[in-house]
Amino acid sequence: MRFGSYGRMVLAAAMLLCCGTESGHAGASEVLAPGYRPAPDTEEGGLWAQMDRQEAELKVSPALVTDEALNTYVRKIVCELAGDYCASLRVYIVDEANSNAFTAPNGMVVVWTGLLLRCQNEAELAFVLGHEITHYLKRHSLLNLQKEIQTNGSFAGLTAAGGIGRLFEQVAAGRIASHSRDQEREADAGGFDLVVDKGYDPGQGAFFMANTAEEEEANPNRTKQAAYRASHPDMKERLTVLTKRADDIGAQPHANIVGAEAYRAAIGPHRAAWLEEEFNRGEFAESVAMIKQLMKDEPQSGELQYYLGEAYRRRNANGDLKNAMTAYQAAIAAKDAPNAAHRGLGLVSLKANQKTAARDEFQKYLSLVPMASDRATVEYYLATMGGSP
Amino acid sequence: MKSRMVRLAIFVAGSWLWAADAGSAPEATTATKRIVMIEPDVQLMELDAGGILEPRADWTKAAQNFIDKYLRAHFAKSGAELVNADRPTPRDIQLVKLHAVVAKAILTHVFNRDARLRNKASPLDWTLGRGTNEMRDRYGADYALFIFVRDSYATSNRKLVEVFGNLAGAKLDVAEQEGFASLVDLRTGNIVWFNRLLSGFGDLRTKEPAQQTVDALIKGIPL
Amino acid sequence: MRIRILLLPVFCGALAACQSFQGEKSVYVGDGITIDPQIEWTSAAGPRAAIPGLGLERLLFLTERDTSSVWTIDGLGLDELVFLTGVTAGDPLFRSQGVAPKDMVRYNTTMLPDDVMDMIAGTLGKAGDQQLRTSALRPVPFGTVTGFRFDLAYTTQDGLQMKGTALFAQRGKKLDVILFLAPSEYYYDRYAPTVEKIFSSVQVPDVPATKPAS
Repeated sequence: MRFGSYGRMVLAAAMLLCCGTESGHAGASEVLAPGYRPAPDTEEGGLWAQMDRQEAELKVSPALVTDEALNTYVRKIVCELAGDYCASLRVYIVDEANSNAFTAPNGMVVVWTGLLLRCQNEAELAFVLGHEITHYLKRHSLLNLQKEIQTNGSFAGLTAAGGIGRLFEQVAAGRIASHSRDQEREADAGGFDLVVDKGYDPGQGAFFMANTAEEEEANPNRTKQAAYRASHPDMKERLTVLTKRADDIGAQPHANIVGAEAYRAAIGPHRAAWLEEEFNRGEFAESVAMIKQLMKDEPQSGELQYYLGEAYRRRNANGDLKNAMTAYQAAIAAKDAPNAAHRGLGLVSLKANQKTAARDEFQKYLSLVPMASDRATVEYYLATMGGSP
Repeated sequence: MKSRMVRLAIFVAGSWLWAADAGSAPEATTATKRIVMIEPDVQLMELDAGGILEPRADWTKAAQNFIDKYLRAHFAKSGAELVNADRPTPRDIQLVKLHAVVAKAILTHVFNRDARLRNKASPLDWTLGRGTNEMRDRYGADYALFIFVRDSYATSNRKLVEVFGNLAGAKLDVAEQEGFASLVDLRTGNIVWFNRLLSGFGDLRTKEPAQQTVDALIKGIPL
Repeated sequence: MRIRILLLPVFCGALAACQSFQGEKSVYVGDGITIDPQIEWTSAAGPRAAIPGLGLERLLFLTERDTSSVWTIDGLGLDELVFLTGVTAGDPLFRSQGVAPKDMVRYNTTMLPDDVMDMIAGTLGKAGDQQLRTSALRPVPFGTVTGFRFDLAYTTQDGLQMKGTALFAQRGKKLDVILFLAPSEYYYDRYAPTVEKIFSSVQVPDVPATKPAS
């Protein structure tokens, strides 16, 4: 599955590289029995052994997010959705800025922090996880890998040297863990049923998918990934189906747990660090769109305003100096702005040749963070900018 | 690339063998030397008539067992003790990953005479550094042994294709073994022995050929 | 498709005598800059490469600019001294495999040192380095002009933790970057003092190399 990829977040794996044609397997795929494990002399057994190795490596990887509270929170959602299969699934949160989650054939569930950053509430995350659990239950990965072997003669990244990071690269590039459009439909339907069954708001999955599409479309440089474009009819079709199903349920009395507060409490301590890493993807137009989406629910967040300013400053397109300035100013006006908002505002003011404002903001930054590791640089700006002190 | 026939005919157990020089050679003392081994990185695959590679968990497991068994037998004979690092720490894993990059540098720059680095003539010129002292203390070991093997076998159909393909002069990839073994002195972090394995006909799935392969892999090991 | 793990693609062919910097006190690294290499390096990639093609696996910038080069002592991935000199407006720092040039962050002359640091980090992140963090941006001498330093830490796609330090300067309309990258385990610390000396040895002409003739 792909809720994101290489920065291109497309839920629709219809658009995948390895499964360009309709899969004949998907509809007929059987559901795993709880506790299932294939014999080692089978193709499936070989695959599981591969994934077991990757999992062993992931367990001691520096990329693994070990924070117990966050892991417990995500694990609990997975377990509630998975029911009898809870014991077969093992959740790993991985420090990776792209938006993705996937379930390996052996029951390893990998959730990237870029996905957690983008979900706005528990119901959205539950839909993504329910979608993934369905892929696992229906053994979609196995079917796809079998197909890939037939097509390409190997397991692509799986047999190559290199560890879990290489595996993730393959996932991100859509070379593995991608599914056919039938499989995506099946996973959407299964995920939707699981989520509704547990009393979550049925509309949140469609919201997440729409946001994903919007972020993707915000990026003007997507020519190479044109095939992944969110405007792809499959994506639209899936979004339509999900919205219709949500509306049908919405017309009747129904449970509607959204879980926005619980979700924010769980990811809150990590969000600033994830936003910092988001910029290392170098996809600033996507970052701007994504942060704006988050701000719809939290218009008063100084943290989000600050990072919106950072996204504009880095994108540096026409008008972004002004955009960044407005965002930093809004951040400072809010209560929870990081001190670095003053540095940010100082930087863009300096670039806009507003020297008095720049001087004030740099001085505020230094007075708030006297031990800043970049103090000498800020002092350099102050000393060299000219204008009246 | 060497011709198929050559590769089929002989084990190429490294173009050169390096023994540690006197200065860094394991000292011949009466104390038993202890060698720690993190799970050998071994993977066996099946190459079928269509040229498709499939990992085989059962073969891999068998190969790991043979490697473990024959290594133990070797060291029992030579008087060294082999211990497995069953629960490697994150620091151990970092050292394993560093070793992988070092091994890649060795294979690139030593086994290819055209790509030499200044002041690097043999694998013994590389080190993991003294961070290995931590492993030495934790496992009470003098050395760490690193094993890496990728091995593929043709199915019988594939072998027929190869025979006929060869007669017809077609260039076909042959099932083969690639790998290396490396011994690190945990006191200094230095590579004290390194051997490359490249073979067209070894077999790690069955007893006797597996023993030959392990022998070839650790040929010249100074312990 | 066979997966060759050990037989790395090294396109050596006819190799000229090893080009290294033995005994040279002043080596030209592009854009008017010379440095004292301190110890013997092999130029693994770039115009004076002893091992042509070696750098291609990771960075494809060589085709872009002839003033980019990578030096190493123990091999790429173990210690890399990367010179990206004379970067002009609209240029990325380097090209990365699988990423279209226009998708890379590109230099512009209005960038402040903070922006340049973010650009370097964004470029490395785009090239596949993970969990990248920068710190301690500070002014330092770059020959006779003011340059900046910062430190970085990241994890490779293979899960090896790395450290790095960067020196850059904006001279005239061009950007010059020198990066040192090595595993945190042993190699970074081993060469860090040497790299400090190399960074201190930077010499630039008094007049910016790119000053327009007028």
